[in-house]
Amino acid sequence: MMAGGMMPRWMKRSRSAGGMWHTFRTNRVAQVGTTIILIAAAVIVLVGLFSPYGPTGNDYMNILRPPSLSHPFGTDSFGRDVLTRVVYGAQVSLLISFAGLLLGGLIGTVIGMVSGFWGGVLDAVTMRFIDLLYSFPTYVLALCLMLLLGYGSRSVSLAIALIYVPNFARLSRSMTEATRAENYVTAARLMGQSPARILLREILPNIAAPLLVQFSAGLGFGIILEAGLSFVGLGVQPPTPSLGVMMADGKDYFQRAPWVLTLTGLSVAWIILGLNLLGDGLRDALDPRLRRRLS
Amino acid sequence: MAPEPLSPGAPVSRRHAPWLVDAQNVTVRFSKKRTLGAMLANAPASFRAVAEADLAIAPQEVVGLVGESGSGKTTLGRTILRLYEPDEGAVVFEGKDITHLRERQLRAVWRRMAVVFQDPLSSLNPRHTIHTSLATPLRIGARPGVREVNARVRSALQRVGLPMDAEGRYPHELSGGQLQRVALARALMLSPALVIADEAVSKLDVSVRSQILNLFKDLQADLKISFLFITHDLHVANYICDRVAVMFFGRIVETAPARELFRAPRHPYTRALLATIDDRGADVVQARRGVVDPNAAGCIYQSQCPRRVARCGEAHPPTALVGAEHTLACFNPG
Amino acid sequence: MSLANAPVLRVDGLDLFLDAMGRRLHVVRSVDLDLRAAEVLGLIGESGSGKTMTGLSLLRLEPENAEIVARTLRLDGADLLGASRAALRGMRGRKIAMIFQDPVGAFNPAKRIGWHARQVLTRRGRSPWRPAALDLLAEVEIADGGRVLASYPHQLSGGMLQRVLIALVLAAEPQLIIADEPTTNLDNIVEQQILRLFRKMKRTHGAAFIFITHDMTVAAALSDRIAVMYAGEIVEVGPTRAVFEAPKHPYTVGLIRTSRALHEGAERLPEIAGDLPSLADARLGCAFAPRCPDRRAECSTRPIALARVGDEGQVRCLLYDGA
Repeated sequence: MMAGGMMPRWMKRSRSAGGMWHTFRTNRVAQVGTTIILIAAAVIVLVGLFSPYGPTGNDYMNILRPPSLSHPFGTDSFGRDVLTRVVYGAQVSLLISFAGLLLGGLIGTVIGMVSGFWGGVLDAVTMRFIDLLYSFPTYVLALCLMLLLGYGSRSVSLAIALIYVPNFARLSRSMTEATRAENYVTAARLMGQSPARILLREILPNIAAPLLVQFSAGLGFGIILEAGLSFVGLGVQPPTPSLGVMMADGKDYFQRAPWVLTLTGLSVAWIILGLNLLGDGLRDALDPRLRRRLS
Repeated sequence: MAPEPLSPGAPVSRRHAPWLVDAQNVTVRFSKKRTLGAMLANAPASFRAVAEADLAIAPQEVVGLVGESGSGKTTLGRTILRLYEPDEGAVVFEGKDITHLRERQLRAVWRRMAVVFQDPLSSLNPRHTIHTSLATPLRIGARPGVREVNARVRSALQRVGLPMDAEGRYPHELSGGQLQRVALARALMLSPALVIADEAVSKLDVSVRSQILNLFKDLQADLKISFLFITHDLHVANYICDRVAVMFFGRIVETAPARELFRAPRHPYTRALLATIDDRGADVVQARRGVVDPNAAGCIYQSQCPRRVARCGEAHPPTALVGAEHTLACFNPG
Repeated sequence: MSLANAPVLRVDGLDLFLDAMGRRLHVVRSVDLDLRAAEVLGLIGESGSGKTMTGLSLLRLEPENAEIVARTLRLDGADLLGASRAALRGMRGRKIAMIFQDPVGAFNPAKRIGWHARQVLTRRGRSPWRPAALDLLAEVEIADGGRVLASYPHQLSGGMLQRVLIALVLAAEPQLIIADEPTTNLDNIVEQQILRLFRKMKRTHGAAFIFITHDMTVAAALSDRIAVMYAGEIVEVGPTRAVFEAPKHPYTVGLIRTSRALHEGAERLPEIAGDLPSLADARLGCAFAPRCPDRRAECSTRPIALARVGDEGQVRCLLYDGA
């Protein structure tokens, strides 16, 4: 405790954006996560640029070849290069996950912020609907949506969006409620700022960080969800590669050519591990680190 | 001199009317959560943060509101700002009754008022640069061009004694004293008629406090603004205010011109506030403090008061005029 | 039982470094302290002065990322610097105790006050503990001791909790009590009562006292000697009266002048210009120089040592340095 509650500058500094970046940079978990993602990104870019093969394009001469120099991940039942398909598939999966999460994140955040800012009956009713949505088991919700919307990548994105609306809504609501009580928000109100401006300029910048953490963690789960749905044939339709589609393929001839399923599965695991560790690192950087500093 | 009881809302001195702000008989209640047992025992569901308070501020006047924690001074200040709505009484600002206005209508009124908070760090958006924090008030309503905004921001920095390079900084890079200067600069951006400073120097280091107090004093004299200075420190109030009101547990117990209050306080509580460890015969600071019961009949201070007489337990003493501008609510003053 | 004039605390060359944000902050710089039994030292400083860290160092309660270096750090002859964890734990609460700014943190919120009292008293071998507890509470001027013992911490006010804490601290009869801003959070009137209590304790118990505060008047009311800290260093030490009536260091002068002006209702408050320095900045010479109205060129060129002034005073200032 410092005199009269005023804290010296070195303590204030560690609470700032600069301070958080420093913690993130030095955090082991974040470092590992970032490395993993960077490696994955490098592979994706390089293969995308330099692969002599396309993701589709059958080559019946080379069916189910094990990993070799010309095919580092081997070939699948159509003779296609597995590595190239994994790379393209990863892009597809990531895109689907990203789009879904972005949509869900935006909708959820808006709902949460409005709810948290005004409170009252609006807040109570809205959050009950959110709770309702939240209480559905994830896959059940996704499957129901598939039934309603039909198959395909777009539906998967929408399913991911719907699943994440409650997450973002709850998070942004509680943070908005907390931030609303801050003095600088009161000051903004007294200046005559409209609620929309206050939400956008005063509150949003201050709640963005945990939302970003949620986003990065959600990306990983989105990929898993997409993979799961595509695996059972409800998501991305072949021949477009996606990680789930490829795993479905690989499953069929696992005895003869285990590398397709295994290597695809490992690639999925790699990407998701990276995303999760990155998210964890971000979360650590944002936590009340001040507690540790002062002890 | 026989004190004449004041009717609620009657101005202390005719000379000051019309008032800039006139809080008349204001009562603000907050509801309490009660346990089942309390409900059965008919314990009150709310407590009065402010009870029957009369406070008026003249144009260009600095009024101090002094009290300890729980005295209701912050609540009264916020009620004058209409951040709270009084349950009883009225708040009149520049002749207009703003007691029950909705937020939309209040926005116009708010442009004539400003606040400086206690904690300099939390009163500025941590993600905004100082420039942005100062420019924001200008961007509402008629929007001046970029050049004019920049010019006004820079002159505001100059006015409060900050270097120009502070403009691009973030709040966490500045010291407490510098942040309060920014807060003051922001408050003055739209040339308000009233600035409310809520414990504006309490969280500052002692060596910086006098700088900020002097800044307040100088700016007030230059710009001729009214100030409501809320503080727990009677010495600070004496330095900066023309008139001081002392609050205890929601009630205003004494108001007087600052010097007069400081030199010759009459209410036992005011005197207790001025007592220190070295006072001989400091009967006003009792060894055992009783518990204040706001629901009991009689004077709110009776359980603490060394000058208590029988009459004090019957009804809360009415506010009476005991000097040209000195009001007092006490049956047995010193 | 030590003799009235025997030194209880010897601190020589205490330095504390803090690793924060990849930088090494020199928070406490070469502090010397000497304290005798029944003596009260007022340690005055603002934020960043290092006063709290100094206090924590004496109990070896410095934070994890802090490093302490000292030539001597002894309590009644026992070395605190090299002592084992177990030895330190044994000393805390018994030989040396701390009263914090916020008393709430010192209590287990799930246990009644009586439980806390029993812990402390049975540890001292005072059983039955209850009558002793009631005596202690009466000594700190708590009217209804029984009710307080039966209460939970959250049911008591800040002032009341602080009294209870003082009572429990005294129960242990420590040789050294460190009080870090014990009245800052309390309302003025309660503060005056607690200060009177401290004064009474000073007379009746023989403990040495370090009273850490930013408030000059509070320190003056209680202390036998005053030490003023600025940016990690002690800049002035001396008997209270001497420091107050004839302050030497320009910083002390500034603080006292401001305090006096406020309390005497002056027309204009004297100012100390500038801001407190950052502890991360490299520093050559006097930390106060940028703000000092009497500064000279050489003030920022070389380190300045404490120099003797008067009978028992010391100042770290070239204005008084004979050399």
